[in-house]
Order: sequence, then C-alpha cells, then structure tokens
Amino acid sequence: MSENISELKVFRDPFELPVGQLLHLRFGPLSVYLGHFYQEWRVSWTTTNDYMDNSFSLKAPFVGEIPAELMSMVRYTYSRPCNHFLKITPVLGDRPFVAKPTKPLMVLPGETVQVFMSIPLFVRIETEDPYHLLEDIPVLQSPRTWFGDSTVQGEICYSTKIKAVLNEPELINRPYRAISQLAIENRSQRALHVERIKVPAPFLSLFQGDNGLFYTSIMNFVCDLDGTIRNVEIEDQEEKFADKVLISGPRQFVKDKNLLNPLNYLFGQI
Amino acid sequence: MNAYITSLLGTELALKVAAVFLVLISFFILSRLLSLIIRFFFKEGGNRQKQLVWRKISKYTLFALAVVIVLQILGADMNVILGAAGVLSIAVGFAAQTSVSNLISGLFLMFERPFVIGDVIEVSGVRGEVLTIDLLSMRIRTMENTLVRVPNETVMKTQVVNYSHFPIRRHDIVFSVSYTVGLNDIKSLLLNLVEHNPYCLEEPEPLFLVQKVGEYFLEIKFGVWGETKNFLLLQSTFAEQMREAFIQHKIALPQRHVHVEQRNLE
Repeated sequence: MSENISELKVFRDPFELPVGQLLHLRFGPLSVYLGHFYQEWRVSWTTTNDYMDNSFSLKAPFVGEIPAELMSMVRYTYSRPCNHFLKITPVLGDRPFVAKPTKPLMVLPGETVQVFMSIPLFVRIETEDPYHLLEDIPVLQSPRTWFGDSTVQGEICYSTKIKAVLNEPELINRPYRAISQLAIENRSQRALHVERIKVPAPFLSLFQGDNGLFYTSIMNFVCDLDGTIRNVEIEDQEEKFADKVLISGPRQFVKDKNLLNPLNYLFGQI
Repeated sequence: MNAYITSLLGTELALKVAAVFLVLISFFILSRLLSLIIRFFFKEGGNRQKQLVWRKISKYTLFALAVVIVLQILGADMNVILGAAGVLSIAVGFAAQTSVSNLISGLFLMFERPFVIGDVIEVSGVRGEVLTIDLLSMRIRTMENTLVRVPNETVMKTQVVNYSHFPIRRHDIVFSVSYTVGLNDIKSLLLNLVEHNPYCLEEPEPLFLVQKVGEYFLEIKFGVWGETKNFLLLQSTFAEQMREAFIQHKIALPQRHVHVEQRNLE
C-alpha cells in the first residue's frame, strides 16, 4: 500500500484489462475490484468510511479472489465480447458539501480572505467504445446535513467532516479528496459572519496538479458595499489552471445562480 | 339492396348521421392530441398533478362542446334543451348532493394543492401514498399495499397530514430513565448514535429535552432530523441502535422502588 500522491496521475489514462483478469483499486477508504469476463464486466466495491485512511494502490492484474463480503457486486453484460479498455476517473460529488471552520469567521470590512476546504471524491468507472457508465461510487459515505435558512427552505448536502481553514498547508494531503478554494471579499461596512460554507460540487470541475493532488474550480464570493450578496462565481478557465490537468468537468451546468450561494452567514457588528 | 343504400345516403338523415360521426371522430382526435400536448408540456416540469387537472378539464370541455354540436346537427332546439337541462340539473342536484359536493371539493383540491400525487399523507385515519386525485375521489395506496378510495368531500372536511411536503423531518423519541443516569452521559451517547447513523442529518442539530420530572424517572425527548424519503429507515435503525447502546452502557431504566418495613409488633 502506498501513500505516494504522485502515483495518482495513473487516473489520467485508460486501463487495459484483458479477459480473465482482475483489477484492484484502493483509493483511501474505497476498495474496488473489477473483473473482465467474456461478455461482461464485474464491479464490486466497499468503503470502510475511515476518513483518515490515506492509502492508494492500483493492482492490474490483481491476483487473488474478490472478497465475498463486499457491499455491492454488479455484472454488466454485453451482447458480444467487450472492449478491454476502461477508464477510472475521480469526479466531484453529486451533491454540495458543507464545511465549517473550527470557529465561525468574521470577515472584516474591506478584507478578502481565502478559505480552503477538503472534499471527498467519487469514482466513475466507464467503458469506451461503446461508452457506458458502469459505476459512480462515493469514496467515502459522507454524512448528510441540511444547508438552509430554515427547516423549510434549503437543501440536503454532504458534510465534509474536515474543517475549513485559512491556509492551504493546514489541510492534510489526502489522496481521495480535492482541495476547494473560496475567496470571500467583503466590500460592505460590516463584518461578515461565516459559520458554514457550501461547496457546490456538482457545478465544479476537477483538476489535478503536478504533485498528484486534486483541486476543484476556484470560487469567488463578493459582499457588495450596500451589503447585498452577489452569488458565487466559478473560475475554471484553462488559463487559471495552466499548471493543472482537467480530470473531469462539472456534473451540472448552472441554471439558477442562487443554487451556488456558498455561505450561511449573518452580519456581525464588530 | 344497392338501390336502397343509395336512396338512404341521399336522405337528410344520412347526412346528419355522417356529420355527427365526423364531429365525434374529430373531437376524439382533438381530445387525444390535446392530451398529448398537455403531457408533453408538463413533462418538462415533471408536474403530474397539473397534467392530470388540465387533461381532465380539456377532456370534459371538449366532451360538452361535442354534445352541443351534435345536438345542433340533429336539429334539437337548444333553448328547449337548456331549459330542460336547468330543470334536470335541479332534480339531479337534489338526488346527487354528495356527488356534487365531492366534485366541487375535487376542484378545490386540484387548485389548492395541499398535496400532490406521490406524497405520503394521512387522512381520516388512512396513511399512504396518493395515487390519483380525481374529480370525485382520491386513491391512496397504504403501506400494506391496499387501495383506499377517499371521497374528496371527506378530504376537504377533515385534517390532512402531509408527510412529504418538506424535504426533512424530525423523528422524536420519548423515553424515561432513572434519576441515577447522568444526563450528559446519555446526551453524548445519543449524539454519538446520530453521528454513526447514515440516515441522520448532522444539522439541524438534534433536540435533547428533559420534558418531565416524574416520581421516580426523568422523561426525555430526543429529536433527530433525517431526510423525509428515508424517514422509516431512520426510525427503525435508530431504535435498534438505541436499544443496543442502552444495553451496552447499562443505562438504567426507571423502576419504582418500594421499601417494605417489617416491624415486630410484640
């Protein structure tokens, strides 16, 4: 088992798995077994939900047997012998994530702060020629939480478990997570009280740095001079990520900008 | 035979029959076309309830229009028919008070929309998923997979509980413990269970309330939030977890202690 993050670059290319061979991927708490059989792919997976688990390994071919006690085993069948190639791609979650700072933040008037959060990834298993999405698996079964003004209005999100921080190095490099950056600019005359931050994962792209770590699109949030909140703007233009490789695009495209509002905030008087 | 048919086709009656036939066919096609358009239009928004209402409205309106046109073709005097219909409607109104009441209630329900198709509701002691909302009655599929028809009038008159309206719900558990149990211990135990139950939401925060100080027990209310769609799973799994945790941590349940003193009367 390795914790060498640079090995994560292996996801950039498709894998070849001839008939009769198995593949085993260990990606943090997630364990995936893939089997290529005549006219079928077999996918089994399980997750320990141990969010401290930083292990990473990919064995293809894997010699051994698929453990019987896995959470799921699905057989994907074809009418003819299927292509040997498949792609395993890390993607961002299907719901937003909510992160909390250790204690609520007060963004002072005229200040711009960068907040960094760490969100767990999903893994997508796809075949090529013909294209089929076989699985879309969460690496970690994150607890769910509610993000909204009241119990009547809001949305169900995942909780990140790991606190939001102001300095990126404070986040421990975990291979199965992506680092998400939010810039909060407070142009108003009052301090901005930030208790929780929503990362709108389905609307963000996923990039990989040269070091192997994953990053999401950057988010910018502006509180205007008159105190009105502008919705978050997502930066995922290629020039902003020149030193990174795009791994997967957003799951959804923004139709309603209100869905992106990342803060559960109150104005505080300092 | 041929001569007979030819003479019949030439008659006014044959023309009228053909016209009636043509009108009925046209209205039937129009009704199907309109139904398809409504289905397509509301498919985008995924609103089955609105789709159902507009389909019914269009169907009955076209039907009424077709009847009027057919009667006109057949040469019926509309004034006489309308007069007769007025008298008839009074008679039918008396005879079918309940149906009319259900019909009006149905229209109110369709526009007020206290619930929609697919919601889980409780009405008149029946709890289940709403399958249809028709003009006279609604159909509910109970948890035991039985079909219950509830007249719309009943729905309008009684209290309806909609369990699906909001995306999250609170599950309240009321239980009693002995005075000897530390409240902080029990609170942290329950919060730990919430953290490990996949159907519990982290936020809104769970409610922990001592709601009654009894003679020999404390009554506690613990409320935990979960997604509405997983509510039954939350109820079941949390109860199981609580039972196991209480046994494991030897949480004393309240017992009445009676001290019997035996005195020697001699």
